[in-house]
Amino acid sequence: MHVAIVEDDPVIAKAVATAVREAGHECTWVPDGETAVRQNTLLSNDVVILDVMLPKMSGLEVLSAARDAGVKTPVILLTALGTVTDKLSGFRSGADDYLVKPFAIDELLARIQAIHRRTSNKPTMEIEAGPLQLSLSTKRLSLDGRTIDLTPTEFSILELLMRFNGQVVTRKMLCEHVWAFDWDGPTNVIEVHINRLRGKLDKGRADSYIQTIRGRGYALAID
Amino acid sequence: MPWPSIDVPFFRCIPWGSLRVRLTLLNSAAVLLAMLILLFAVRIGVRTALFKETEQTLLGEVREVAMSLEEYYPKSGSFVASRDLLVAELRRKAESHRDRSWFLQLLEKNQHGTNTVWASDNCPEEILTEPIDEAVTEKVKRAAKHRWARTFIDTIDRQRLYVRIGMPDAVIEKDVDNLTWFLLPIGIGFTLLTPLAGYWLALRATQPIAGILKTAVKLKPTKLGDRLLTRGTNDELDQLSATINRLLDQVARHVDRQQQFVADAAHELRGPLAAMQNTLEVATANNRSLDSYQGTIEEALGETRHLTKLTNDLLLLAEVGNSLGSVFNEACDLGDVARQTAAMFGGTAEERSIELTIQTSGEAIVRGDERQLRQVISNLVDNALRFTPDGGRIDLSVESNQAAHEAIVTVADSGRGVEPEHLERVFDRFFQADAARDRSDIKRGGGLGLSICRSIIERHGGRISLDSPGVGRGATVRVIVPLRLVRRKPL
Repeated sequence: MHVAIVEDDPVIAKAVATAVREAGHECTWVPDGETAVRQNTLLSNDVVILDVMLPKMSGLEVLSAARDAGVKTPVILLTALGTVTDKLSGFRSGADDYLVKPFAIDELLARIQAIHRRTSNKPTMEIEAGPLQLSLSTKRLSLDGRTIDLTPTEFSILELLMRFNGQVVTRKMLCEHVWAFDWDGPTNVIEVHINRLRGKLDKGRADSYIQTIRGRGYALAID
Repeated sequence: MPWPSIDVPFFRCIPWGSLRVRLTLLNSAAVLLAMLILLFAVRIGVRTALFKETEQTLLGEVREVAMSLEEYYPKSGSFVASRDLLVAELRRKAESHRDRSWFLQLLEKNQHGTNTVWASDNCPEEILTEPIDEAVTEKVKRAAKHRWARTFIDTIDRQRLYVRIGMPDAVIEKDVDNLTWFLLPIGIGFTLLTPLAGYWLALRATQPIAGILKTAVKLKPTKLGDRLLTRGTNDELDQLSATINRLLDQVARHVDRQQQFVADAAHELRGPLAAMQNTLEVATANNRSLDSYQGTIEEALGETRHLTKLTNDLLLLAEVGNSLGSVFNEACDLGDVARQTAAMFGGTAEERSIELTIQTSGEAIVRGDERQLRQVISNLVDNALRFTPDGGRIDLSVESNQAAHEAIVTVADSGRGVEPEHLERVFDRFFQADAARDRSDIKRGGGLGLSICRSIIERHGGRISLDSPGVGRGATVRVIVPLRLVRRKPL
């Protein structure tokens, strides 16, 4: 996948570009809006990460111009402005997703992938990861062919982990997915469910399918 | 063609926009108009009265002459002598009224027509030839800027003699003009005096305003100690001053709080920054093992996350504070919100053997931002979980009081409670009961949770309170939000 990041802050740009490359994609850095328009960045990439506050030409202008020209490349807006009105104006300009700075790199990577999948493939009713098979229609998990009973919460958590197999999924993303609320408070409301999931999945295994990435979140690592 | 503009220094130096000048101008205009109307009315009244008076006098005179005619006319003696006597009488009368320009005329009518027997020398030509109107007997006639009274007498020799006594209108007009010339200087005097008096009055009326202005000019956002003087008269201007003073008090308190908040926020940000800075400094001072670096970076990341949470909370507070007084259109079921919250924290509570119960009664539908209300209840349950030991209990309840139009949410825990002296301050920003901070993630709140709750609830027109019977005996937070008003459908 070709990803471009249009961002004037070189530290953020470098971090994002490195993370995207390490996730196995190609990434180019475009330092400002004018360059993005001149190089047709939105046309020549699969996903574009676009900062809103850019010198010379704002991200929203770049986006509007591209959308007016009929370019449909998925765009994730990055901004320090996080009010509801800011988000609305971003979506009105044609953004597909919106991330408020500071954000977790893992969340950005997950969103890049989600947005790419949404625009390229049809949604599947089955998710597979190694021995795990999750049926979204019957809400059933089978591991090596045997069915495992999951609570709705556990099912929902595992679904997100399997969608982003091999990637870190943050607690905030899990909360948003399971309870439709981006709880970011001190109490870790995810951990207990992760532990129960492990209890059900990892019988007779030395190490767990679900890894805890300290300070970041959880990841499923099944080839 | 452009209007010739008045560009005289005198006109330019008058502050036309000032309230004083405008009041003066309006006053003067009103007085002048009233005076003009009065003068005009007086003039018309006097003129009418004078004319009426004169006409009465004329009628009286002709009646007197008629009586003379009857006396002089020959009942004895010769006709000619009598006529001479009559003419002499008329002449005398004319002479005595000459200064009033009275004129007299004696006419006779015979078979040849009407001819003047005698007329005073000031009798105007138009009147001399004026035909006699037989229909009129005793009435004042007006013509050609003159008015006159007329009478007649029939003689023995079947002759009819007429007498006219009249005067020109000009005499009375002159009197009226005299009056006008007398009143005009008084009018002009008033004209000159009115603006001066008006200006003085306006000055007196606006003087307190000037005082307010003088103090207000000195007010600065950095120096909000000054207050306007009230004179104790309790008039409108005093009330204005008092209102402005109250506003200034509020502004000063608000600015104080804001400054305190900024200082607190900066102080609060310093902690994690210092931790991060020192950790990183020490890490780069010497060569260390990869594990050590990894540990350092993770510590720094932890601090960064704390900073992020703090910043987000501050922004949320600012956002909620800025939109105070906004109107919500969406309906939000607090019962649903409470159930979702209980579901989210249920697993954690179970894990710690804390009994988390939820009770809802009645429809508690309010107008509001569901995300924000969910934030409030989540913060409250999170607080309760953090301060309740394993094996305790947390009771979440939502009721609706239809009579008082209120939804009541309570979160009661069996936790460590709050010291009575801290009850007042728990909703203050950055207030944390334990001065020494526990750096472990589970206990570490930003110190903003409850003040965010209060801001959000106040924004929804509600109130929030915390009760605790004492340390170790639990705490109960009660949130009251007005119910959504539902228009009753007619049956």
